[in-house]
Amino acid sequence: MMVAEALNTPRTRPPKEAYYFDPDHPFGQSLSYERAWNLLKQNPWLEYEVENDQVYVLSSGAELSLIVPKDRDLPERYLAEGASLVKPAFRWLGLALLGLPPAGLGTLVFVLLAVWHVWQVSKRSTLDQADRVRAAVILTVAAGLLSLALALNYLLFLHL
Amino acid sequence: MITQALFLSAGWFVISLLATLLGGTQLRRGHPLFSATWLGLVLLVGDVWAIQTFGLLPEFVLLTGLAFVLGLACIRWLPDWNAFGQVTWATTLLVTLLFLAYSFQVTAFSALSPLSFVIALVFFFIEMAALLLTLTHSYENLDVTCRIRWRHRIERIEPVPGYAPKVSLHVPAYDEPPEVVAETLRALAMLDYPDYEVLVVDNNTPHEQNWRPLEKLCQELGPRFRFFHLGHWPGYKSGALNFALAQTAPDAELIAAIDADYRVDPDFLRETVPAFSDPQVAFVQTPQDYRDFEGHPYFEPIYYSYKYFFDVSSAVRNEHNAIIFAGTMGLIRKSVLQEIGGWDEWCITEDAEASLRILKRGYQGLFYNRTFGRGLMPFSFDGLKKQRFRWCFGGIQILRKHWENLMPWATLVDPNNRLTWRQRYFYLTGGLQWFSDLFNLLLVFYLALVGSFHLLGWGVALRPLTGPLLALPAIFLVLGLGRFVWALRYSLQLSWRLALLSMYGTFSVGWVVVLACVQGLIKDKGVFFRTPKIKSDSQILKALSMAGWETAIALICLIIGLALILAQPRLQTYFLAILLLWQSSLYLAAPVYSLLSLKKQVK
Repeated sequence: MMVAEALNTPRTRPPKEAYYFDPDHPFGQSLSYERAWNLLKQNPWLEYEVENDQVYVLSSGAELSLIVPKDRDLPERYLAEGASLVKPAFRWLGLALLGLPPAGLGTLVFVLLAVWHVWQVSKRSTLDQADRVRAAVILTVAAGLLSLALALNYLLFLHL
Repeated sequence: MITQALFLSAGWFVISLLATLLGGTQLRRGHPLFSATWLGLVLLVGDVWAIQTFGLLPEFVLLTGLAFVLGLACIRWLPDWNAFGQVTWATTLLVTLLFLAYSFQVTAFSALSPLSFVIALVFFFIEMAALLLTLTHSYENLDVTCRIRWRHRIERIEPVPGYAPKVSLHVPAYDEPPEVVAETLRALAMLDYPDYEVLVVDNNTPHEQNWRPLEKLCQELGPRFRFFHLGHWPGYKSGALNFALAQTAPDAELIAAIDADYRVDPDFLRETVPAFSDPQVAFVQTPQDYRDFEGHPYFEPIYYSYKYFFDVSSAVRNEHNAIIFAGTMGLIRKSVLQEIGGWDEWCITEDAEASLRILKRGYQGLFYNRTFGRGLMPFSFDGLKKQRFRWCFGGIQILRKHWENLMPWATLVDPNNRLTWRQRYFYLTGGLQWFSDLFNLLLVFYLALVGSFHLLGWGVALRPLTGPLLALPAIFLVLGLGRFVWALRYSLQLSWRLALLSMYGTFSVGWVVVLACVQGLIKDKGVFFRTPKIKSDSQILKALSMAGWETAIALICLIIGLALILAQPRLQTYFLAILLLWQSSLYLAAPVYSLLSLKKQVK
């Protein structure tokens, strides 16, 4: 539910009043702080309704819908969607590493998938600087893992 | 060729480690010349023994030259350690690498069926991972015991006249006994500091009778105290702390996180706040200490196993500006917390996660090793397991989120990443060390399998158990154990008995750490540990059921180990049996501590 939607949605305890302040405005923040302070002195009960990156929307004990600015920068997202085109290939590379113990057999498959991913992505779009570094790292590590895997494959062949 | 070289390096390792155990904590001076002389002496004694035992072999000359160069490199790179530590670290590196080379040789070139070869190779990789993690533990132990110069240790934070910024103390509480929180709040009311506020944030407590008394108490304690009850609040503890951040007095410059069960000393803020007069300092952490443990058979060893983290790990990490913010009893600059976007609500160890993001921006974190407050340890073994699960799960979450920030190419990907190599090393190994218990369990599985095959007389060999492959792990084990207990004794001033019990206290939660590692890798959202509940009036049965899996593993190892000794009394099987019995004792620590935790309830 969006913040605006939350303010307009009828609830079990309908809001009598909504406090809204421009979260980026210092005066708004200070006013919001004072209002919340006074409300909570009467009753410290708050219930979570919804939030976005800038504000919380809450129901207060006085049956008010209260908007509280967060007053902080956006947090770093965990594995933000689309943040990197190349990064998913590291997953294949991780599996390639785990594929080393069974005589390198798993590595053969996953290294190829990692390289395939990088190749496909670089063919489709222009990579930024960070992704170019990632692609170089993936290809270098893939080459190293592939060499190890081939050596282990050879040892397995000796045991056949 | 490699076998004799391995024995020679093992000889150097044993000599240097024994000398370190005897004198490593006594020697408090260092000089490169003395270190080089000690290195030469260790190599000479080892060489004389090896030549007398095996004769003069060309590989000995080569290896001695290599060891000397490696030793000199360690002396050069570790100028703040004494000679014992420097040489022991060099020999530890050498013997580990040679052991792995030998182990690989045996695995790769023995006459095995293809299936046996693949299985043996899998276990070689597990062995390698376990040994590399052991190296990181060894480094930490040697760093704290053999360090002769502490360049960043804080003896006292000097007061800065006129500097007393407003501090907002955040006390998150979830369904805590009101009398415990009340004690915490009364202690905070006694703080000897001119300008502070206390925000008590009670989130998701279902029973009103558990939070209304706190609301009343906050009113009684005066205008410094503010109370919020947050219903249906998302984001666990960090969600509540983020809301507290939004409600912090606008003029507050610092934030202190205090757990709801901590009795804080009046001088806490007065003694720590002056550190923030340096604008580069973003957070200060003091030890999380505990009370009511003295003389109790469960609480006392567990207390010292907790203390290890602050007295050893944090002390070492502080030398490299790589400490973690551990939440309670720590202070953090509000503007920096706002700059990084607040506490991460995805991570269940939000405090440690925040410190990594802060250090990544180039700020400084300080560890001040002086107790300013004491809390309560988990009352039961069940509580201890839940706590350890949360710590480990959170540690894995941090690793999953930030691994790329810790890689050698991190600054090429993100030029704003200001983590140093040392900081990356400590955060990476700090996360990876949780996997030690997982690798240990896999090795237990391997040992039990090999032991069973021996007993059954099956010809299918997983890997030939040559002398060095059995004897050296046993030697590593004994010496590794000695090193750990020695570090505990030295850093915490413990008796041998208590140091040993604390070590077992650490290992008693190994199984739950394994579960947390696995779940941390596969689950995207935070999960919490649930213990099996049995319907019984017997406290003893309940305590044992909390450690059911650990007991089963311990008994399997014990039975196979004893059967090996009785059925096949040979030197080779003795080594295997020793390893199995050792593992059995580690897992048996769980039911033993679970039972000991009942003592309090009886009392």
